[in-house]
Amino acid sequence: MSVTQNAPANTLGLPEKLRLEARLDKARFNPASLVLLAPATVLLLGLFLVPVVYAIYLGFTNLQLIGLHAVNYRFTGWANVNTLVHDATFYQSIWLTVLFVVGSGAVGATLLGLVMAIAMQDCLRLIRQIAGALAIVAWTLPPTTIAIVWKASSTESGIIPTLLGNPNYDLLYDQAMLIVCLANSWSLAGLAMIMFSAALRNVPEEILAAARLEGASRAQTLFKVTLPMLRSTIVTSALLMTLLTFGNFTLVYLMTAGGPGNQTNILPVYSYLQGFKFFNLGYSALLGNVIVLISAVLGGLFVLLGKQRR
Amino acid sequence: MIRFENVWKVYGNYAAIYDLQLEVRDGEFMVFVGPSGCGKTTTLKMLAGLELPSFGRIWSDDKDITLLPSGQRDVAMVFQSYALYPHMTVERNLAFGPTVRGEPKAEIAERVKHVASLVGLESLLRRRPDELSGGQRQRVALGRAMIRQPRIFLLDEPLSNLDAGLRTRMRTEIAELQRRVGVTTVYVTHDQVEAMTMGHRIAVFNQGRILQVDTPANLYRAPANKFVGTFIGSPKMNILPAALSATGGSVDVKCLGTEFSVSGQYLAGKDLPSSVELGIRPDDIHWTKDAPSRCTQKMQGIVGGVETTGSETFVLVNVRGTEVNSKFPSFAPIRIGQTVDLVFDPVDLHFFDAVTGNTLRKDPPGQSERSEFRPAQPIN
Ligand SMILES: Nc1ncnc2c1ncn2[C@@H]1O[C@H](COP(=O)(O)OP(=O)(O)OP(=O)(O)O)[C@@H](O)[C@H]1O
Ligand SMILES: [Mg+2]
Repeated sequence: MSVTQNAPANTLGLPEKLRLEARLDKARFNPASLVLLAPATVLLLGLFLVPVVYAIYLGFTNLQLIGLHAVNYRFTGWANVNTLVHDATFYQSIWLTVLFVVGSGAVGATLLGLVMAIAMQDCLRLIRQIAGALAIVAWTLPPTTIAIVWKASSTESGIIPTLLGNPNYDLLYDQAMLIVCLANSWSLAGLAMIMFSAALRNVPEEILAAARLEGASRAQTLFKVTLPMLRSTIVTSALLMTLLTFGNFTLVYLMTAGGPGNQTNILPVYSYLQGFKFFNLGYSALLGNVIVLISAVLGGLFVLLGKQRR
Repeated sequence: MIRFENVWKVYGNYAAIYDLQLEVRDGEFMVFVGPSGCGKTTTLKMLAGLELPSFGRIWSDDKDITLLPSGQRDVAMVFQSYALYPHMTVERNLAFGPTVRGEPKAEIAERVKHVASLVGLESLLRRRPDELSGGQRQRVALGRAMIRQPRIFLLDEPLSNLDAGLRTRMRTEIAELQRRVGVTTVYVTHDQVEAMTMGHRIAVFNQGRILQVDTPANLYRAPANKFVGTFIGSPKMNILPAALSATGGSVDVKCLGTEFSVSGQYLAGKDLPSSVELGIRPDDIHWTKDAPSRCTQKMQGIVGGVETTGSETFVLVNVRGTEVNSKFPSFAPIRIGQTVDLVFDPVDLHFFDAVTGNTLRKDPPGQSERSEFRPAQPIN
């Protein structure tokens, strides 16, 4: 009450003297901290920023793996970009990348992990632990193993075509993108499941009890209470799965090498092919730059989604 | 009618509830009191179906509801931990139940508004729980339970975090609502005043057992044992060591330097233990200068402490090494270290077995008839 009585024009009612002072409860800057931050800054600049800038630069050169321009490469300005915007394979590749990263990573693996975590929530502790251990194993398997397992089981006379009733059917050839996506989701779902299991255990029992007492069905409790409370975990998982899927070049390359046709030619594979099969290292670097851009945009999107309150 | 029949709840090798027998009548306002950790919340949760009893049965009229899922019991509960939905605004927290039960939208909005004004939350409807103070959250929890008319209403310390004024208002509000609607209610509290004023009957818990279930008046006048005697009533009942010896039709009592005899008909049982504990409430020990004439027994002691609440003064008097709390007129001219005379009437005494703590009195002091609970008639 006394505050409002002494209040000058400003709405808070701060005395004039205090208005110029730095607030104690807001972040403050201490110059001495620069000294402490210096070593980290040097390392960051030297080991991260310089290579990145160099890679960006390479994207605007005519560097080649072998031949004339392998050593005597030069800056070619917009030449690579010009090629890029007229490259039909590039556009297809972008679409496939988004499909792969968002479809099988952000959405697929997250959803699979979430469903598994919810399904295992109420089951016996032993079963939960065994399933959790298996999920970790699936996640720690090297991509080569995953690629071999899925390739072997989805091509002719593999287990999946056999189960579908036609051992001679080459599913991998026929539905290459689908199978690659499934393999990726499968390999990442375990990690997502572990994240969701932990998050589910943090949802207070009494909140769910309150919902049940109020007459909410299991589905209503799940969709109106549990899932909204898992929101930040869902976003984190989606982001993590996106990044891990982007890095999952090995899996796709080993299973299909981008084929058949260009059906699974996602950007990392395309970049690799351009650089090491067609020797256009400069163009390959530009494709790499595009990958960085896309992942930055996707990452930003998820962070935004997570920050939104309702 | 709700009936607990030999209900046990065991956690690991620890029994939280021992062989509970309890009947809550239709329309009754039952209050649970007891020290922290004695099993009140556990009992409520078993009634709500959130915890399954380890053994025993719970009956609702003639129906066995022991294993009935909580969603089918038509129970509304205020949780001790509030259990608000953290991602919803106050408004949506209140509306959640009616919404999932598929009630018409317009009606829900109406009821939310009504309940919000009942618990004083109108201005906070757009906030989320993490933007509210403890007392405000508690009111949301209360409002969420009050928005419907369940068959059973369970409240686990619903007013513990409110300020004194609000608490008094909500106390009346809840009691009035209960009397008006006649819904069977179980109410847990640590507050003496709430327990004594709101309930038709009070169940006193200790260490997983119910020690006594009775009307507030009977509980106060005729505690079944020392624990109930000291637990109900504030300030606490004094416990004084005493020796008994039976002589013919009467019993001689020796206590802190005074000797008197009480009629043998007073005390139950033939073999009275020789050492007992006397219970006497501070309200029944008076200063000689301000005592009713029926008070005949005198004690002398030195004042050790004075506590004034304004309307009354309680004085701690050291009588032969035992602290005796006694009620003095407000602002009596008393100083620490002063010697005072206290008097009491043996009729006001409670006799407890020094070993078991059970009462030895047959006829509770100052009581003629037992008042019976009659449920309020629901008004339609
Ligand atoms: N899930 C559990 N596992 C093990 N012990 C438990 C569990 N829940 C409660 N208990 C124990 O059971 C006893 C009774 O707990 P309860 O919550 O019913 O106490 P309370 O009477 O409500 O206490 P308060 O007044 O502090 O709320 C306590 O000793 C507690 O430690
Ligand atoms: Mg409790």
